[in-house]
Amino acid sequence: MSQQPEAEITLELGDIQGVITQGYGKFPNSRYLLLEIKDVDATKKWLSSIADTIVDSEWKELGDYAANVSFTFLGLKKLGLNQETCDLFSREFKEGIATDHRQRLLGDRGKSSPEHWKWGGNNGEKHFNKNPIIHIIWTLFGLNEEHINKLYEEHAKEIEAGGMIIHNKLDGLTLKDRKEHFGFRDGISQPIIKGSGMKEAEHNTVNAGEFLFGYINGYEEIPLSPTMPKELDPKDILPSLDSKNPGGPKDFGKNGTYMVYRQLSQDVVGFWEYMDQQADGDEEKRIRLASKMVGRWPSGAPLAKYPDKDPMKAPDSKVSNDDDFGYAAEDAMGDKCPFGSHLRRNNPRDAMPNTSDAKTSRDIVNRHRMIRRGRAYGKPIVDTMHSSDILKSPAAGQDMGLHFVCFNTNIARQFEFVQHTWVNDPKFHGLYNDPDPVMGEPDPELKGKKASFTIQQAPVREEVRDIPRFVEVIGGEYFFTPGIRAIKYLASL
Amino acid sequence: MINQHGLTIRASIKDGKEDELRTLLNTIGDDVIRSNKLPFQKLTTVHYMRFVMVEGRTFGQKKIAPSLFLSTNFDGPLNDHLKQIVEVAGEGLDLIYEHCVGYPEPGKANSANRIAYLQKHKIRTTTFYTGTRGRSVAQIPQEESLFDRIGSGLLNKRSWKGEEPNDIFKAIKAYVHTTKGLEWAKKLSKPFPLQYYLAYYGQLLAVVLLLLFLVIGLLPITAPFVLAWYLTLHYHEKHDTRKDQLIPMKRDQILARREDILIQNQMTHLVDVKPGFFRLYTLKFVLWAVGFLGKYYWNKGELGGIPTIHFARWVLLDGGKRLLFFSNFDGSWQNYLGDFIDKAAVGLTGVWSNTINFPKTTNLIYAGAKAEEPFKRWARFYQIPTQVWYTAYPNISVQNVNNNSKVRERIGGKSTSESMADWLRRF
Repeated sequence: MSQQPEAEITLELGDIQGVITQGYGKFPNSRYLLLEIKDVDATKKWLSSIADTIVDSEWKELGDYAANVSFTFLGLKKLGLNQETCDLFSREFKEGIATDHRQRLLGDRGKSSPEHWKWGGNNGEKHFNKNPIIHIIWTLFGLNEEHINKLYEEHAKEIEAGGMIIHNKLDGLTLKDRKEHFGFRDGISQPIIKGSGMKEAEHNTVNAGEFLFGYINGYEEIPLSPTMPKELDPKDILPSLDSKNPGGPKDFGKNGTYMVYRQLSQDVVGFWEYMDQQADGDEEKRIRLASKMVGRWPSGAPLAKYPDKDPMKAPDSKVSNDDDFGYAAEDAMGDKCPFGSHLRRNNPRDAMPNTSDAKTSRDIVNRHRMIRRGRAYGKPIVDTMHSSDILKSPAAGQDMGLHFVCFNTNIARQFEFVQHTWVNDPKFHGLYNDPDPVMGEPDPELKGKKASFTIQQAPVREEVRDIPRFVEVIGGEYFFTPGIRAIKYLASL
Repeated sequence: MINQHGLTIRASIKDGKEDELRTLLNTIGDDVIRSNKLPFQKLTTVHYMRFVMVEGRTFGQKKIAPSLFLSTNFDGPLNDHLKQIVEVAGEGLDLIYEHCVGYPEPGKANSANRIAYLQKHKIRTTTFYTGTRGRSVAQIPQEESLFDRIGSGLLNKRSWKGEEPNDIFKAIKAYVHTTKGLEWAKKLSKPFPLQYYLAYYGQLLAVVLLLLFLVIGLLPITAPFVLAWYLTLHYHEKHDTRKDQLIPMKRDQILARREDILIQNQMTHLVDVKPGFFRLYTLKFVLWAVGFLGKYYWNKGELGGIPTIHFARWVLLDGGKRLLFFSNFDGSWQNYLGDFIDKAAVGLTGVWSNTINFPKTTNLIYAGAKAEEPFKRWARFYQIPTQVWYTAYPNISVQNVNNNSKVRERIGGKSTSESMADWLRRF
């Protein structure tokens, strides 16, 4: 990738952790370490030693690995961040991802309830399970599995010397053709951060304040940031809230953001068995139904542009990464890409229901975007990831899925809104009983009423019913990913 | 079609009885469907019902006791509605209102004096909005079942590829005509009575004539008046101060406890009107205008572009000192507030810019709610808990209600300009 800036840079790239601005395509493998602080002083020393090794967003060329760090609310408190600043974090972050209300909002019920989670879910007032408290997440990115193992050995020693316990190590990987486990190419659409130097279509370039504190957001305002009086930063490590007022408050939030992390387990065999059943065993129909639900063909080609069949057998970078389309002009009725499909409801683009025109729609939709940095986990059932091969191979019982990771400055308006109003709400787009067919919660009141999926077409729609849940949540937490100076500030406390 | 109304009843809570009443209401509110104290589902005139406790206040010399609000959105004549409430839920009412001033002594309540009590404590609903005009409590789930049965019983049974829209319509009609339990759908629902239309268009005519008179006939008086009003507004907007307050976490969590349980949600919001007669009369005018437009312009299920509001109302309290807002809507708080900002900021700013601490506004209706974070903080800060909330059809959205009626009307033979192909898109 060329590192020549194509557009104006207005962000403080040197203070922004690299994982926010870059997908680290160079590193197919990753490992997420969930840490609990036992010895605060030792941890601060460790923080001070790692602060300069963390990849920022100014790099010209990546080194041979990348590491980044984020904190839970309890982690920040444990390190001694003052109460006044703590109070200014959002309610979502302070409460943690697992609360009774948030279970309803995010659809984390039934098997996805935090009481069954393998990690996380205990950072709020209510403890859902016996998982340990998480304070810090240390993320490592490397070239291959061996490399990750080697990095881990080195880093684990430092972490332990830093007074922390490694409770979980979760591995992320990159599947063939950048697919997720159901066999569809993933992670194609990303917003471009305004001021980052990257250039793309204007409608996909979003104000930095949606993803980073300290900048103008989608409503042309600077989001409320966790700040503190100048006296609390005697070594003058943090930036001033207002650069024109150096005597004023200090901005702990600047260049930081919230990170949502959910581990999503995918029932790959169940997914394709359902499609097969609906298609009476016909391969073409089975793939068509699954693609209607996803909104892209397995190769990644969008249905809005290629409505009839997958234009290619194997992904090809131009068609597979095709993100240059809308629905307003080409597919207003949903005949190509159904209203309720995963793709259309996670990003309605220029055709958000009940908006007057394409521009208004884009503006509103862009207030609900996130930077997604998810990675798959677990070995695929078959390397080809073709549905016919998946259906032929016996389910081996191994777990596989996605480490869903996203960055946003307003968890309630971005991640939680999308999860509730677009993914889980069965009334989305005037529909009746249609949550996201791929990853929604089909049975919100746990009354056995399963979900439907409506496929718009002439002369009258097709509908499939009784869709089970294919994706379960097995772990999760909300983190704050601070700017590099804020990490140094924490080390100085 | 039936005329829907909003009923607001306000009773003073007896001294020292607040905690007891709150506990009782919360117990009922925790499980309204199974409440044996108030058998809500037997209230066939009720779309929505809520009980809300409002804190007491002192305005200058005047002390206002804490009060209990009962609000319903109901069908048909008020007397029938009140009669049904006291007959079906009389004992529950006694349990609740024994905490309130002036209610009949225990053991002495009967239908007549319960009705008299409610009548006496009825207060004026300043502005009322419905997104499902004319549909009765019974009709809404009935039409939903029609829609669902056409889907599951007919459309899903085979492929319709290549068939003519008119032939599919015939098949749907035949299915409805021959299916047990759907006989009612052969006919249209009864139209509004003539008096309804007379009152509806009579009011419209009166308003248009009055406006014409003010603009043309009384221009020499109206114009300076409007100019003076505008200059005063400008002065106030320049000099009004505000506090940006974050709701304490505990209070926020009490609100959240009752949110996102169903497809639909509720909101109760209470804020002081800015002092002085200028703001009060401006507010009264804007509330009238919103009500008027809600009736004559936004009467197809969208209030200022928001398609998720079943019923909403504003009530001015205490001689215009406080403004109460009730809403019953689809989806989450974030979605609702986001729609306020993205779609209806002008109208809502027009109303709430006359209340304290609202984000800074220009020309009455601009800026204000457009300041997303300050507006959301303000809205949340003045939100109060709804102790009891009942909805008659929790799983049906406003858009569903209105779509179902369009489906039913065509089957019942109502003439429409919609093409058959477009009508089939409703499924």
